[in-house]
Amino acid sequence: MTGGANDQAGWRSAALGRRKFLLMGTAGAATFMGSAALTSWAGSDPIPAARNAAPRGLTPAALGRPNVKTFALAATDGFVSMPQGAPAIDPYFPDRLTDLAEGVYTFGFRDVTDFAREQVAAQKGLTQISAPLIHCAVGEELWVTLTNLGLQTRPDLTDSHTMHWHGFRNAIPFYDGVPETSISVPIGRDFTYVFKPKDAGTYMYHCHFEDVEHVTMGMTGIVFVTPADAAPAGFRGLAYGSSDDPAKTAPTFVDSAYHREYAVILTEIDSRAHWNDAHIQTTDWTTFHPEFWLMNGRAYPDTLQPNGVRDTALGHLTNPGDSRLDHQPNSSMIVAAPGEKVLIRLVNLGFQNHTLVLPGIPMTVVGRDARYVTPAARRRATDIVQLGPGESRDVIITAPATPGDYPFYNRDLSRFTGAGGDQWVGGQRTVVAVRNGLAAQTEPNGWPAGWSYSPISW
Amino acid sequence: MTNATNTGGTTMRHASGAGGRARRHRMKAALLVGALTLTTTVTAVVPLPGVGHALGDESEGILCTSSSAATFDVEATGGWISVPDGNAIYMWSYGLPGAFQFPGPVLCVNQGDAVTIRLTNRLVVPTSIELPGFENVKANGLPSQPEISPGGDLVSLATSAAPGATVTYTFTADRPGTYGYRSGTDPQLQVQMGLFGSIVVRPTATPTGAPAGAACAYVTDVGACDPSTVYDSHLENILMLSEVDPELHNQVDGTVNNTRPVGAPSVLTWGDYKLPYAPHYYMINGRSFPDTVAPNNAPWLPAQPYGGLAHVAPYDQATNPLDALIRYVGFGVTSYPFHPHSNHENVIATDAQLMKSGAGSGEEEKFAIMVNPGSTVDATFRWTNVEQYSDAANPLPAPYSNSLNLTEGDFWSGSPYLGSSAPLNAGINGKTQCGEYYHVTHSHDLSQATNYGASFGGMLTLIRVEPPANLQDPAHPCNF
Repeated sequence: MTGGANDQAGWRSAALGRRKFLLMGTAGAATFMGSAALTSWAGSDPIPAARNAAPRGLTPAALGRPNVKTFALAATDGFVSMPQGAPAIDPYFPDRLTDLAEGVYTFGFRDVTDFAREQVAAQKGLTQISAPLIHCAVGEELWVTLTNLGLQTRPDLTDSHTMHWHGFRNAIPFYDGVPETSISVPIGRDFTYVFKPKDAGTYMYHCHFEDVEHVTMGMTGIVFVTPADAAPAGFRGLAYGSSDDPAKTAPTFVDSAYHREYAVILTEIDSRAHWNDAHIQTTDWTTFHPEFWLMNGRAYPDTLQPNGVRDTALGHLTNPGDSRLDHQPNSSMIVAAPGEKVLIRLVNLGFQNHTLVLPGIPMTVVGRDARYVTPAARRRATDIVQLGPGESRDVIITAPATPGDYPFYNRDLSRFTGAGGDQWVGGQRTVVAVRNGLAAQTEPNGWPAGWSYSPISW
Repeated sequence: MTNATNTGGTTMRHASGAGGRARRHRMKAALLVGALTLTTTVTAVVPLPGVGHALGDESEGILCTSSSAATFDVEATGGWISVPDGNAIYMWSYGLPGAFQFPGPVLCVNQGDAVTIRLTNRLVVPTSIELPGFENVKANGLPSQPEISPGGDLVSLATSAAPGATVTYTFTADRPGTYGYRSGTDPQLQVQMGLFGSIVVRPTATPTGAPAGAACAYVTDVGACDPSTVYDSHLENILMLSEVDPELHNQVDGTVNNTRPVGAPSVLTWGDYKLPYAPHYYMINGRSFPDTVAPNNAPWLPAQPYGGLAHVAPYDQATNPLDALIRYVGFGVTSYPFHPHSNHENVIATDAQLMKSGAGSGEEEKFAIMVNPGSTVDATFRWTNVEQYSDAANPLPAPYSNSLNLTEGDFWSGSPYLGSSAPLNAGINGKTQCGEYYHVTHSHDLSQATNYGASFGGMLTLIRVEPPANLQDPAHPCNF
């Protein structure tokens, strides 16, 4: 009972719940995450507690919560790669602390769902930008366990981390991830956030600890919620469902049905700020001045490389075709067969407005900030979507009948390339690749079924 | 919120209110002292937000300057404000006679009022007031007009007053809504220097069948109260967003006050400023966080009267059915992407025009609201205690760590449960009172949520969620 005693005894409210008493006193005593963490705090166990704060034997199912989806994130640092050929920005880019020829120092979230604790600990220094794609359905409970592994390159920085679900409705501070208004997760500890989403749509998540730094350093990703409604026949899913549609008598939400879905997050890199963090220098964030503009953590032409592959022995993500991108596993290629409906979920977690264009393929904006936009309230279609920092859009396109590559890029042409001077690399550019003979999509963004979104095995 | 009286008569104004400001103070001295004692920190005075102030009293929310005759005397003057890192910044701003304040007064009038604003220029350069959104604005009885210098330059967008002179603007407040006013003279410099303020036009229509305290912000095409814009008149907030390039202000200060070093440039116009424009401070209502959560008229911010704390109680259809209203006004030169934590806001109007999508459609619910230069956005907000987590009856679903294994924040009660508190870890200077929740609401260009680059500052404020009476601990009640 010692592990749980300190925090529990202090609640001012009168009675302990029966279940909490169980957690503290009996079933939880040996394995309750607080106990494990306290042990490691005492120095006898250098490995962070198990990646799931609910230990084995105390599962969501055991707690009487059958409809729980679990996900685990590890927060750490490391180096990523900007595109080959990107001109140097002396002394900031490339960073000479790494062997990567185009290296940039970042913080990131790594997907450690299903990892043994030794595997979780082994992720230290193996950053990832953009963060793993997380999703669940209305009606599911989502438990996200965050483990703070500390920073390999900056052991002097004792930063905590959090997960802030940006846009989650009626959040309580405990699960909102703002360190000043609740708690954050120190190095070597973990914490489980619980979400019971009621509203479908595209949201985002990021660390809110010293937010300006941790966000731009790379701790940014997409979380989305699918509706409870079944997809219409022939479609893979729906962006929005009956509960999102204000028109109860003549609902229109089925127009958000899709065959394939892709999520793309927009961010920026100011290489001087990243270099400063690696080299123990401070940054005046009000002089933010990016040189690279990213989609899913990659700048063009890396945007067109495929998704990473999981090394099943180590659990690491790798990119067999190009190991430079081992820490940027998220492709932003949008691949579809002619005539298919494609949902593109767009998120901006940079500090600038971005204007994306998809010439030749009309886009219909069916969602805005995780809110369904009815046909009566929307524009018919558009070639241009603008997103401010912290905004999201859900866009439906119909893949053209003619196979080919359709560029999808930032129309602010100063962000079409990087700022370093090479006219081809470093900007926000990808393509909608229309191909014949594709197999049906099984997971968002073309990820294979199985590893990234597997149910937890306790 | 409160309405103070500006009679338009100088004598009356000087006779009422501290420092010549026509505002009522109801600061509770004992509570204020308590707050200062509890929260003394090395860097800044951070009050307990909302402590000692009932929901909707004049210490928080919009602080109106109003006048029975809709006649206002304002002066353009220079003065200093403070920012949380300890710097003092020289500003130009509109104030009530004899009292410098930043930003300019929030002038509240009623729909249909014939409004008079007499501007007396106490600056060393000509200045004016531009009133975007209002039609047929007259200056000294003639249409307010752009001014061209003898050399052919457009020097003012509105009729100006020379230094020491007075110009009288008149117009009719035809349409309800939120408006910004600003200098139209050398506006690139003068608006940056702080010459701006807001006007709120309240409709004459009132909500029908709504609970006591309900007001409406906008009217339909036939002049009736628009039901999508009904709000709790005690929970009305205005967030005026701006930014400051401190070096520009420093150079103007040195020029005006004759304190500039030998050889330093003389800067009184935008054309004089030879450095790249480089803002480092971002503000809500003329304050940067944590000053944004200090009460209205906080005595330690004598020239910055307007707080930015939003204060709500959980939505309940039976007992608390009315939403808060947030009026955003953008005074910067970039768009501010404002992100409310904890729930979407429902945009009901932009630029003092009702949204057309229909009452209560929810189609304009946003979790990031773009407040563009010179534009206004009105949004309603509510927070609902959806999960009703409680220590005894409905504990959190997942086990969580002992607090010694977590990093705790200042605006945290120590308990995840609304209305509960627990001791905080050593070294945490807790600022909660009764188990209330705090959520942040801030610019999501996160470089703007800083004080000269220092995180958790700048264009950021808090939403305080009050525990309802049945969740409050009798030993630690909230003060309302």
